[in-house]
Amino acid sequence: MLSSLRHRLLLVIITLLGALALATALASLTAMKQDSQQQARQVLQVGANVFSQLLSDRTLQLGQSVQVLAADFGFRQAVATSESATIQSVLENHGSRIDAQLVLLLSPQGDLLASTRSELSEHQLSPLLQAAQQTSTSMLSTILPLTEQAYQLVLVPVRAPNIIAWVGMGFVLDDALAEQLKAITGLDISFVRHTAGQDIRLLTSTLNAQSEADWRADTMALADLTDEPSASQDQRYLTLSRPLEHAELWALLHLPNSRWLLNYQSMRSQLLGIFGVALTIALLVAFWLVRSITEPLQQLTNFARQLGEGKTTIDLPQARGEVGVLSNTLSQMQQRLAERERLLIEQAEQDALTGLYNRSAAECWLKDFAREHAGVLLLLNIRSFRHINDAFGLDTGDQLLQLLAGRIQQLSPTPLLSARVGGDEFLLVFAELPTALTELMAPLQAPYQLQQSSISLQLTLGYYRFTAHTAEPVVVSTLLRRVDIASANAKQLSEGIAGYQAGQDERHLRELTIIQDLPAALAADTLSICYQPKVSLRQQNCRAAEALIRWQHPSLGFIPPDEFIRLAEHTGHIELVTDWMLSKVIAQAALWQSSYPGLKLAVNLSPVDLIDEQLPARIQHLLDQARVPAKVLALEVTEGAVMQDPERVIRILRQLAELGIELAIDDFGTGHSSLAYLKLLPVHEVKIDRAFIKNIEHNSDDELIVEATSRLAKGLGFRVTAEGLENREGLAKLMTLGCDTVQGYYFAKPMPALDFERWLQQFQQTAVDYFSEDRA
Amino acid sequence: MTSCLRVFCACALASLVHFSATANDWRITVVDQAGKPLDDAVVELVALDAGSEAVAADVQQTSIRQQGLNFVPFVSAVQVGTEIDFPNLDRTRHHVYSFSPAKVFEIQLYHDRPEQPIVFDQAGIVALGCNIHDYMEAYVFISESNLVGVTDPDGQFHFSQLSAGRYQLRVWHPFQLDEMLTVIITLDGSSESAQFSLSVQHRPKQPTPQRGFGA
Repeated sequence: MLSSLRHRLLLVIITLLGALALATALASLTAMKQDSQQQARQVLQVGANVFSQLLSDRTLQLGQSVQVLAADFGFRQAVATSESATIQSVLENHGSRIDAQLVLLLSPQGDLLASTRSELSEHQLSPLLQAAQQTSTSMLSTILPLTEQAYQLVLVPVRAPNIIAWVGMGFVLDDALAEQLKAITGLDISFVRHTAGQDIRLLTSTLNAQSEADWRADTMALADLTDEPSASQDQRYLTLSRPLEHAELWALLHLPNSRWLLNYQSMRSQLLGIFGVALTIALLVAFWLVRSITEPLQQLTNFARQLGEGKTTIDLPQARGEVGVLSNTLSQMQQRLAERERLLIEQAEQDALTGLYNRSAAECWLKDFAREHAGVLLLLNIRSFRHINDAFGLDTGDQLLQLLAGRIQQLSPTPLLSARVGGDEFLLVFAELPTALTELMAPLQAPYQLQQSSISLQLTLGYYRFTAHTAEPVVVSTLLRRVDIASANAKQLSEGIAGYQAGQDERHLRELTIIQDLPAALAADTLSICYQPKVSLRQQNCRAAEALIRWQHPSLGFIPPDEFIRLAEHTGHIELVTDWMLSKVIAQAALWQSSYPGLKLAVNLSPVDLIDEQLPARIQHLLDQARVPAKVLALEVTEGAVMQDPERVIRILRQLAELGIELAIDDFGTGHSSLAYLKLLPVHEVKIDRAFIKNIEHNSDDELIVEATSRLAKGLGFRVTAEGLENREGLAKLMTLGCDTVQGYYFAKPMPALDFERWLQQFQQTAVDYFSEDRA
Repeated sequence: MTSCLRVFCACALASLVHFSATANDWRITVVDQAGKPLDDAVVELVALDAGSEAVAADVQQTSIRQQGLNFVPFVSAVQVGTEIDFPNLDRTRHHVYSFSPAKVFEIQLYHDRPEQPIVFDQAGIVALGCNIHDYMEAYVFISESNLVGVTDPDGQFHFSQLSAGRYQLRVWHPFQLDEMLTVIITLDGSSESAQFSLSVQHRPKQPTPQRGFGA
């Protein structure tokens, strides 16, 4: 999940914003809390200052009141009388005038002369008075604890006009005062007395008894609270202490915690709300921002992916900046890719020379077409195109192909498909077979003007009708093979036009099987050799045999040698066959050398073998290996084989002859032999083809031919052998016609080596019988 | 000399000091603790030797004026039995009183001159005040002796025609901080001077009269 840019960006932004908001909120809240606390303390401090000021103002007011009383003449007169009863009376009287709860009179020296409260003792006041005498003030004040109450005491001198006494008046620090102070300072006020070693005693308070418990727990060290209020969180009050003018007396000022806490809490909720909203907005903006960045990127990614897969269905994002540049680049890239792809497809589908479809494109097209349509495949070939190339040069050949391609495209009817599928092969597809194929080909074969010469082309045409392959899958290779077969057939025909016939394909497949299996069969020795005796008419014995190859194919059964030899010649396998044959026959000759001395075994050579310069050396090598003399081996070649390249063939034949190998012309009389060559051939024997022999007893023409041939051969010094003798009558004829040796079913059909051996032994005894008149 | 006297002042109520003074004149100077001349100090000599007493004079008369909303003079020294008149020279009335034990009296609001002077028939110190002008104050030192006087602005008082002999000297000032200075001195007839020092707390003797009802 974290691998995508979007998620990572989001994570980073959320983390940063969250941390920032958290840190800011924490810092702000802490600061706010401290600020609120500080404000509460300030309120308390200010209240305390106001409180102190109020107390001192009160002292002044009281002092002035007392001064006025003390200046009263009657009061002074009474004091001057020194009569204690009078003095007591005047103190009570004047004290009540200003609601003093305590009135006392001191001598100028500080002796207590009279007091309205008997608990008061001199020593409580004398230090005060002494201090007063030092400074000659006109008023003294103090706060005195007396019993369970504290008194604000004001002392003023009584002058007559010298100081004749000090009169003091005390005012209780009572609830009323505390309430009054509370009304002004806004703080709850308590007056307490703390005698060393005792509990704090509450003198009066604006708090109720329940609240008192809330501050009392933590305010034992009164002196510590003068500057810094108690700030314990679980208390309901912040409390600040103020020392009064007596060591044991303190004023306590209380501020309810709830006041600043409520303030703080409401601010906190507001702030948290603001932070929450701000964070949400910031996250939304961040989300939008990330989306605005990653969405075009995502689209680009998708686009690039589709580009990679070779398809483009989505539009590129219209964006500015880097994404825009990337977008444009990708877009250009896509166009270039499409251009290149088009070129590639063109090059892949087109034949570079002619501009027609090439083979693979044609196959693709055909595969699609044949699925739903019936049609005709035409395969055009140029006869002997190689010769044209040789004669006019490759460039001209290419130009010729281009011109031909041009004419093909202008054919009428126009082919559905025209493709060049080989060097000089063109594949055309029509919906149905044109009625006149020769007319179709006429314009193609019309002379081409090239290099100041007029070149005519001979074309061959194979065609194949196919049906729509609606049910079965289209196998293009089959279609092409069939038209290929037709084409191959057409090449064999002079008119050069052939259609595919049903079954040709099967034959073709059989040939393919043979071609494929032959080398393996040779290697595995699954082929066999049969020997057909060649009987000497003069000696009436058998001193030679022709070795004939036999192949029992595991699935195809017996395969006629003509068939697979022809295929081997076409496919270049004939050399394998010849070598196998030679080695087997030479080995057999080696075996028979002792028991049948003078037995000569003949092997047929293919025309292909006869242009192989290495053949003499290979045969010599085989003979040497088997330790047999060359005279046990005879080789048979056809007339046609000699005619393909007479000079070379004659040279090779001479080399073979020089080795001591007897050579025979096979199937004499069927080929287009040139008698001029015949005299040059280093052969010892001529074999007259069976076509002339098999009916020789009835056919005088044959007889004539055989006689002439025999005479000719003999004239040239060749031995004459007749093939295909089937009956006693034939034998008699041949004997009169001058043949030297005969082979044929009359004596024996070709036989495996063991059978041949057995026949040979039997023939030695019964040879005469074959020649007797009685033999049927 | 001064420091010597101070020692006496500090440690004895009565002690003997010999002055080789002539029998005629003796000048006494009173200074404050800073050595500045102290006026309005009362000096009193009481002859201790028989025969050396001064002859008692007739009934003496003097006055203490109320002038400029003040008593003038600030300090008076009189012999017992002296009649003191309190003429009021101001346009306002005054209410002169004394609660001092030596002479308690009251002359209620009056103009010009009271009907009769007050006889100070008992030795002691009387503080005078005015009930309607609280700041007004004056002192009367009533002495058994006729050898009594008040120092001038130079802090001096001159005794003349004194016979030689032993005397008790008392020096008093309204602002003094300590007990009254009492020493025994012996005068041998030759003219001499002496200086005494008092610790006082200075304050305005004649405060500016307050006018109107301002602070």
